[in-house]
This record gives sequence, structure tokens and C-alpha cells, in this order.
Amino acid sequence: MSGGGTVSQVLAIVWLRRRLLMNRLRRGEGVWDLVGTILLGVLWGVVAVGAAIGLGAVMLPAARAGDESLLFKLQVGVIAAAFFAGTVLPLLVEKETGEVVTERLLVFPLTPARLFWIAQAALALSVDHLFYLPALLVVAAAAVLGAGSVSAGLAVVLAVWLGVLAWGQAVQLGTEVLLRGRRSREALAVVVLVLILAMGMGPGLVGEYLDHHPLADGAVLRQGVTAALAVGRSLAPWQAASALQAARTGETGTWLINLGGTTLWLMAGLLVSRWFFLRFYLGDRGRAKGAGPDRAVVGKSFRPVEWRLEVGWIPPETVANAVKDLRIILRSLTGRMLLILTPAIMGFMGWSVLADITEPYRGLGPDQLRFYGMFFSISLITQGLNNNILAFERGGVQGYFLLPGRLPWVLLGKNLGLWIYQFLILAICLVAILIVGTRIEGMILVTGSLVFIVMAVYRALIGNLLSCLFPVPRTMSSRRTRQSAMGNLLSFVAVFLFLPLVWLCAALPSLLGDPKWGLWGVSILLAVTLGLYFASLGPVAALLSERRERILMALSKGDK
Amino acid sequence: MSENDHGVEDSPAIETHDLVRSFDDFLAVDSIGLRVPRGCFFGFLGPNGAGKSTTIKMLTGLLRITSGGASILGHDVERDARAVKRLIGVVPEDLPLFEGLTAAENLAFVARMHGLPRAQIAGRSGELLEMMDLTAGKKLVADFSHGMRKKLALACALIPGPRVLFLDEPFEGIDAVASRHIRALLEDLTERGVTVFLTSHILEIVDRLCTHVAVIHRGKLVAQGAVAEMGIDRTLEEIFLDLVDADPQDRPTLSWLA
Repeated sequence: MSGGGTVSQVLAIVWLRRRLLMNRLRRGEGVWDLVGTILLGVLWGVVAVGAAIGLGAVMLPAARAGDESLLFKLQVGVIAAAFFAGTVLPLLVEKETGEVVTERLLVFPLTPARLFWIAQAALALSVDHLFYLPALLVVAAAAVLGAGSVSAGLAVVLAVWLGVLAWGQAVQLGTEVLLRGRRSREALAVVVLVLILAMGMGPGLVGEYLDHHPLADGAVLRQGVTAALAVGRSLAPWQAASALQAARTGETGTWLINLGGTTLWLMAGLLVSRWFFLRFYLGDRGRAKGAGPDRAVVGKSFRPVEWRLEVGWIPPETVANAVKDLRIILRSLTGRMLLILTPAIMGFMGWSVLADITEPYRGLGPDQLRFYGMFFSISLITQGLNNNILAFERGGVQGYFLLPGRLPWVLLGKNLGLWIYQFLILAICLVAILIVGTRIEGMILVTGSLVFIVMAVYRALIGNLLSCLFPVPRTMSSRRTRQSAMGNLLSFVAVFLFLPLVWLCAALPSLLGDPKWGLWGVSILLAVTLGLYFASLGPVAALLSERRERILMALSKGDK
Repeated sequence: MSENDHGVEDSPAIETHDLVRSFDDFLAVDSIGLRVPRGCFFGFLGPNGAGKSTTIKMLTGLLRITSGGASILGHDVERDARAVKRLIGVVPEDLPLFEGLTAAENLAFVARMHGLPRAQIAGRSGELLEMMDLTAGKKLVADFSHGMRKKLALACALIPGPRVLFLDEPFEGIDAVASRHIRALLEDLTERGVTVFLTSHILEIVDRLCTHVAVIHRGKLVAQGAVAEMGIDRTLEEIFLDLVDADPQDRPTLSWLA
């Protein structure tokens, strides 16, 4: 077997991806996906540039006015936000990566190290990681405005951007290894990583916020703020912001030291990422299927719970599918990750961001804004599961056409399983925000829960339709999966079009002067949505049957 | 035994009339007329790409029929699809298994979709898992080997107690012991009146098991009938190679391969 040079191998991979895309387009399969990808890319580009312009509107005047304190806080905040967006958010939002290609490349004469760098390059060019680049460039531009060295600022931005990339992959791969529950060393490493990133960065940001604040005048709190800042300033965002400040003032020594600190974080991220990469692709994955002892014995975290859902008046195909889907989701990596991380993030938001909402906005009081905001966030986080409900079953989807179950009741069962899962997340989130001390008024809780149900039913309605129109194979044992870009785009458009109606119903109490109007409004909306949902089941089932050949063909393929 | 459960009395197990399936310009199945007697072991043979899987998919409702018609135990496969699905068990080319479930849970799902009562599900499921040596406890199908998946797919096809069983390459990737068990089980089923319709590339197995065969080549049916009547003093392999125009003496070589 010949070895082959790096360049020819990379060119072969580029050729493969282009060929796969062209062949799909030639067969008319990927046209809508490509259109969706372009539209989503444009949308993300507009949002990214818009956010950068907004940031520039605040930062550039601060830089001109010489408000160094505000400038530093904003620099730290933006860089920390980039790290958050690159490490934590991808765990919650499904994204496309080059995993299919990476896995297949394992059989070729490529060294693991080369494979790692190819995967890094593919990630660097993905939309996710280009998203926060404009904001980072604005941060650098504000820092060097007028006086500083442009190249010194760009060097810092490059180190930050690559650092986010490396840590993002480290956290994602590490979490996958952790949730597979097979390797304790990696599990420990992930816990340490999350501790460093969250426990260090969080208090650091709070310390930055409270520094020079009258609240921090007390001796004890002063000590706390100082300690938090000490922790924070050793982390990448502070190191990078300090380097930018040094680039602004022309202190080359300080710039070098802080850029060195940022680069050390980058190197550490690459090392950890590479370690997880090798464990992930060359560790358990290489184990032969069917070999080895029972998974329940090996994977301590995996314990299929035996439970039943027996309701006599519900059709058997509905019950069978609700139980099946709930089981599959709760055992999947996606399902477990959302179940663990969503309450953690909601709890953190309840303690920090949501607690800051004190003013009413467009008819909604602060409490309503907080809770509706939380419910809506959970809705968006679980959105991906709705849009492609057939796709994680791959060959299993044939069962719907081979078995005698009625398709409308099958769809209802699948939605029911997902609703139960979403309510489970909601319940845990409510407990999480209660634990961090947030109080919930009874009427708002009831109305908010109804809003959540309305959203769940509406999203199921849209999701069923999109699942028939844009099925794309998913791997539930991995976070690194893909969905139809067009399906995703349409589902978000549909949800945002529906939102004003929900908002109007929720705002009825303040419009009509009685808290009960909110409940009435949302109840009526729920009745209408449920009516539409049940009316849609028949036609969507007919569409599913009509498109069965395309769905089966789409889900049986691996080259996407 | 009601007519609805076991089909229209006296009709053949499977019957097709001028069955056609085309994909754009390509004619995958070209006007085939099959007649499969009840309770027989029917081998459906053909080279790769001949149209075997496409025919099975049309008969089981996975693919739409372009023209012509087909019936199973007297029920039209398109007009009376739900009744047909109650009567058949299928192991298609891509196995219809849910990877996030255990073997027992897959069986329970199929049984529930057929509306079997819980006690019957537990009993049948236990027997099938034992017979197929699939008592892997909590192991998910995602961790199964190909052979284990194949056996589970067969168990899923059997659990509702089908009257006609469609098997697309059932012995591919199965070890010798399991293959022997499955052969014995299928023979027992046909003795009890179940019709088995299978495709296989392993002609020795077809020769040993099947009472009737049909051969499809480039979408057309080139032969059909009882094995005993197809050729005297010739093996099934010789008959098959003759029917699909293959030269038994043809031995291709690659000069550059050491």
C-alpha cells in the first residue's frame, strides 16, 4: 500500500467533498439543502456583522474618549462571550461538522496527527467559528484605534480565535466521551475543563462587573472580588484583553507576556483537543460491534430503565411510538446532553441574566419576561429534535410502512414521546431556577406552562411537515450530526412568525387590565393550535406515505 | 381462523400481474407475473441489480407500483395495504431496526404495532430471543454485530405470526450454527402452512430449502416453477448461470495484481 503525500491526501479530501455535493445536486437531492445553507450563511453573516457594528458603536467612541476601564470590560466580555459561544453553545445546538469524512478517513494511510489537523482546518472554516470573527476584529480595531499597532492587535485576535476553536472541540469531544460513560480519565478531564472554563470565567466576569462598584466597598466583598479577578485574569479572555490594551499603549513587553499567556491557552486547548480526538476516534470506536460484554456492564452510566406506558384508550401504535421515541431520546447523546446542560444553563441564567430584568417590556412584566424567556429558550434548544423526527431511526423508519400501524397515530405517538421529554426538561429547569432563589407567581407559572404547551404543539405541527419534506440521516449516538439546512431555516422562520401571536396573548393582562385575560388568551390559542395540529395529522401522514420512497432513500444513505 | 386474518381462501400466497417498476427511464422490474402457492418455500433468484429487492419492496409496500398489480393471500397490496401488513413479516435489505432500543424492546415495539396483548408479547419475545441466541440483556442494537441484527430482524418479522414471510438475503453474514437454526425454523414454518419468499445468492441453500423458484434477469422473469421440474441432472447453479447468460468458464484476472 502506498503512503501518499499530505498535499495529495488533502486534495483528495477536497475533491471527495466537492464530488459528493455535485453528485447530489446532479440527482436533484441537495438543491434545497444548498439553498438553505446559503440562506442560513447569509443570515448568520448579517447577524454577525450586525452585532459587530453594534459593538463598534459602543467600543469605538469609548476608545476615542480614552475610557480605558469600559474598553477593557467590553474586551473581556466579548472575548469571554466568544469562548462561551465556541465551547458551550455547540453542545446545545446541533451543528454540522466533518465527522462523516473524518471517520471514513481512518481506514486510509493518514497518521492520527494529520487527521487531527485536517479536522481542525475543517472546523475553522465552518460558519459557527467564523461567526464571532467580526466581533473579535472590532474589539481589536477599537484597541488599536489611532495609536496602537494593527498587526499586534490582529495577532491577539488570531490567538483568541484559534483558542476558541481548540477549546470548543476539546469540550465537545470530551463531553461525548463522558456521556458514553466508558472512560473515567476522560470524564475527570471534562469535569476539570468545565470547572476551569465556567467556574473561573463566571466569577471573573462578576468580579470585573463589581470592581469599582459601590456594592464592593465592604471588606469581605472586596476580598471576594479581588480573588475572583485574580482567577479571571489568569484566563484567556483577560490575558487577551490585556494584550490588546498593551498593543494600544505600545507596551511591547506587556503585550508579549499577555499574548504568550493567550497562546499558552491556545496550546493547552490544542493538546487537550488532540488527546480527546485520539481517544474518541481511535479508542472505543475501534471496538468491534457485537464484541465484548454487555454494554450495561461496561458503561456504568447506561441503565435502560424498564417502564411502561399503558393507556387503554390511546391507540397501540401511538403508545408504542411514544415509549420507543422517549427511550431512544433519553438514551441518546443529544437527549442526555440537553437534559443535563439545559437546566444547568437555565439555573445560571436565572441567577445572573434573568435576575437583571426589572423593567416591563411591550406589555409583559419582569416576571413574565423572565419565565416566558426561559420557556422560549428551552423551546429553541429542543427545536432540532422536532424538525427531523424520522431521521434518527435510519432503517427503522421502514417499520412505519411495513407494520400495520396507522400513520397519523404513529406521528402522534412520536410527538407525544418528544413532548414528555420536553416537559421533563422544563420541570428540571423549574427546579433549577427555584434552587437559585427565583420566585414564581402561580398565575405566571400556569400561563407560562400553557405558552410552553402551545409552542410544543405548534413546533410539532411544523416539525412533522418538515420531517417529511427534509429528512436527513442523524446519528443519535453523536452530537456531531447534521440536519437539513432548509428544514432548520424554515422551522425557525415558522416559530418566529408565530411568536407575535403568543406574545399578544401573554400581554393581554396588561392590555385589558386583568391577569386572568392572559390565561384566557393562551387557553384559546392552545385550543386553536391543538385543533390545527389534529387536523394536520391526516394530511401529513398522507404526505409521509406519498413521499416514503424519497424518505427511505434519503435515510439509507451515508454520504451527506 | 377468520378470512381477514388468513386472507382470501384458495387464492395463491403471492400473485402479480404485469408488475412494473420504473425509476425515471430505467425499468427495474418489467411486467413480471409471479404465482407463489400457499405454504411453499419460494426462492427468488437473480444476479445483482436484477430487480429482486425492488420486487420485494413493491410486494411489501415500501415501493409504489408503477403499473400492473400484486396481491398477497387475495388482498391487493396497494388498495388493501393494512390487511396485507397484518399478514406478512418482512426482513428487507436494510434491516428495519431501532438502534437505540434493545432486542427485547424492538420485538415489543413490532408486537405492539400489530396490537398483540402484553402477555403474548412477553411469551413470544422470550421464545424468539432464546431461539435466536439474542438474550443480550441490555445491549443496544447499535452495539450488535451484523449477524445479530439479521437474527433480530428475523425475530421481529416472526413475532406477529405472519402467514407470508419475505426474506431478502436472510443468510448473509450469519454464522453456520445460526444459519442451521434458521433453516430448521423456516422449514418448520412452511410445514405449518406459512409461505416463505426469499432471495439469496447462496444457491446451495436455495437448492436445499426451496420447493419453488423463480429467476429474474434484467427486470424480466426468465423462469418460474417447482425446483423438481426445472432441470433433470443439473444443479440449480448450472440452471441459474444458464438462465442469466453467464459463462461458467469465464475467469477474469488482473495482470498488475501480484
